[in-house]
Amino acid sequence: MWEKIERVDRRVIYILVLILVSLPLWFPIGLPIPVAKETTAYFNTIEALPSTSVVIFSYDYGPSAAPELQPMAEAGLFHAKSLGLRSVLVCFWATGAPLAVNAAKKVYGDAFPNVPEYGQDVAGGIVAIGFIPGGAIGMSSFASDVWATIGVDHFGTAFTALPLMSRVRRATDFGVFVDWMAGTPGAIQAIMYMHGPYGVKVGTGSTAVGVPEAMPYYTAGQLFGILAGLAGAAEYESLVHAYGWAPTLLAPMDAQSLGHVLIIIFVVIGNLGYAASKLKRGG
Amino acid sequence: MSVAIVKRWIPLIITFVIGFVVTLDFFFFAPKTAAHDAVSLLKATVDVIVAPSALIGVVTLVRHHGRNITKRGKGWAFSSITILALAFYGLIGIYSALSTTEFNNLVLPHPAFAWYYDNVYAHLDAAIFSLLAFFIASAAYRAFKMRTAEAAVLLVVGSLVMLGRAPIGGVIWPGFTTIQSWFMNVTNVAGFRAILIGVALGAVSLALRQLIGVERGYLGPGA
Amino acid sequence: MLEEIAPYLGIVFGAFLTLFVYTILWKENPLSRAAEHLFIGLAAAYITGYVYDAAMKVAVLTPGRLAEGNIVWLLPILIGFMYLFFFTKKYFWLYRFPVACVAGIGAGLVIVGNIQSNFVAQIAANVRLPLLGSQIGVAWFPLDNIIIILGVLTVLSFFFFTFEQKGPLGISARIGRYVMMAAFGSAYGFTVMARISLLIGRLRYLYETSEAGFYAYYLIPVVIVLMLIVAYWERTRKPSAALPPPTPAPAAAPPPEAPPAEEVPRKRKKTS
Repeated sequence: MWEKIERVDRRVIYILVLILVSLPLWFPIGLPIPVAKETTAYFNTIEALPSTSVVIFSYDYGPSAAPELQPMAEAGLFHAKSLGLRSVLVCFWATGAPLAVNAAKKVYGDAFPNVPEYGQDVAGGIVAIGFIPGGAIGMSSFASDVWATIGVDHFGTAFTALPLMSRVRRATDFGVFVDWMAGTPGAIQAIMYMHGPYGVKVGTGSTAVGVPEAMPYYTAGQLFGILAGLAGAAEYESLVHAYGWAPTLLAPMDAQSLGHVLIIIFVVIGNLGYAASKLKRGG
Repeated sequence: MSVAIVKRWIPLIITFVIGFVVTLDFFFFAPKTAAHDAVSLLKATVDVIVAPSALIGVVTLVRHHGRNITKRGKGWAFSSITILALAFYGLIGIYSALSTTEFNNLVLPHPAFAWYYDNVYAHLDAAIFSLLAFFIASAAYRAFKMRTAEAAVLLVVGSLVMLGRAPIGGVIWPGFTTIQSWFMNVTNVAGFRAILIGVALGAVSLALRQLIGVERGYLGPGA
Repeated sequence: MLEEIAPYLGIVFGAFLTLFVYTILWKENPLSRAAEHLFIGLAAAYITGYVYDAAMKVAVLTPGRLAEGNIVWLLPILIGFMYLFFFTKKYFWLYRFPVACVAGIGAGLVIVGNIQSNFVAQIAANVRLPLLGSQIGVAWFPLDNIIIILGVLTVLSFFFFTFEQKGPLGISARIGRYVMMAAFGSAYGFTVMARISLLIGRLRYLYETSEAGFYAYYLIPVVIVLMLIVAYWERTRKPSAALPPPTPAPAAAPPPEAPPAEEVPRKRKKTS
């Protein structure tokens, strides 16, 4: 019997995953979402910023990581706007530039960048710089001297025509640097080239894969907060809900829960089968 | 001899000088000084230099699939899909750059180019990566066996972390959330901190070897 | 008119391509292969687009550069395009110049970045930990910091190969292995979380995206029918032209037995 269970067709496994992850999206369970301390730390740091601070949001991910990072990126931008902070959107991944514009459209309206706050040094002011080439080199260059690295925004408008950018010349002008990270370059490089040399506070929203590697930096005080994957996004949305942000991840977190339970069941069954066949062989 | 100087030694000297200047800048050049500004300009220049390196992949792709089509190799019909997609989206890019000066002839912000990114490319990218969920489930069933004590530790900790991080763990028993947090803040930090320290040492030693010219593999064959 | 149908076209493209990719879960088929090749072609074109944009924004449009007549900025663009000499044999050495620039700056940044942030700061964070204390606010278990300190030391000892790992070093390395396995277990748990999140993202797109009542998941039955058609076509298409049946080889006379080879005495290698 255990041999049959061990040799089940992989397509049966695929169908089980598909069904169990789909069900809560149609029929949400409503599981409560506890907030991790790293998420609370991130939220509190943004809350404590002076209202004229400039927050640099770096969209260092592509469409493959968008399911985890886009919700937190949108909520993060909404949070900053609600607090009256100025936001500057950059990307060191080329695939992040359109995603940054999409997040801005979600928060500022479809007319973005043709909105009153664009380029202005006012509450909720925003500039989308877009893609800066060079990866980690670009990040270091951006921290050294923003205007020497790039002088136009994503839409080709010179910084000289954007009053907000006159306040953003080098890393020491950043209020905080928030990296929505899916790999390299990401928050780790931001720590190396911004926090280390210039003392910039760096926070991150990372895909779940990158969280274990980021934890030593958080406990060392090099990161002020971590939003960990889809769960972190859901937790952060629940905190930003106080400002009127509608949470969108309650049903997906139910699906996440069932997915995790299914994987654990697979691990257990797989190992029970292995143990049974090992016993049968007399090993 | 002069040929060797141009083809081998000048690139090595360039590597050393630029790397040395950047290291000097970190330790000795204060911000807002002329020296620091000069190094910032150097970094911006290298930003421009590094951008076309991605075209190596594009050219390799075109050569491989082009060869497959001309020789009618295996799957040449699919190679023609690749080349046609490249040509079509490339034409959209050229149209985007030339059709309007609203975006200073830039390609990415143009609505036509952005539409294909949002409605075709992004969905393909996301769908291909989402297949990993199925593969990891299959691997969890078939491949992740507790053959050794170390593997058992890995799987037990992994299962506890999975359960604790999802909302259902807290509903089954609040202790799962605490256990997950403990593993992430204690054993995970211990393990990855040591790995970070080791990797940092290795990376620094490799970078130093590159700077002084001992490590020349990055220059290609014949260096 | 294009603006009116664009949202519907977007859903049709997005849903069809997602479902074409998912057909690979049943078995490899022309639909999934076509989708993969389409992705590669689009990615290559996007790369070309962003390379152009990067060069334009940094070297041309930035005030004081090429657009304002400062032709010096043509130089980095030309040096950057020297990467393409990678494909030649005779002029391959020209490819080394841009590589040297990038490698030099990369090496410099690696040295300064790693030493401060990944080496000194991490060691300092470990050293500064008070001996007794909880990382998660559980007062009755104050051994977290000692576990972290000892864990880091034991994992570092696992990678210490200057001396043979036996005795105290062997014990330390063994403990380090278990600490590392615990760390990798956490990484595995979070990796699973990430992968399932990606699937949830795609399913949300299929189930939730709509335009005036037209939902993306309406196209699932269409793709199933397409799959059946493709499966039927693959089953019924003719195999490649049949090879002529092999002719039986004529019965050949066995070769005469070769004389036994003379044994040549083997020279023994001198070992030092």
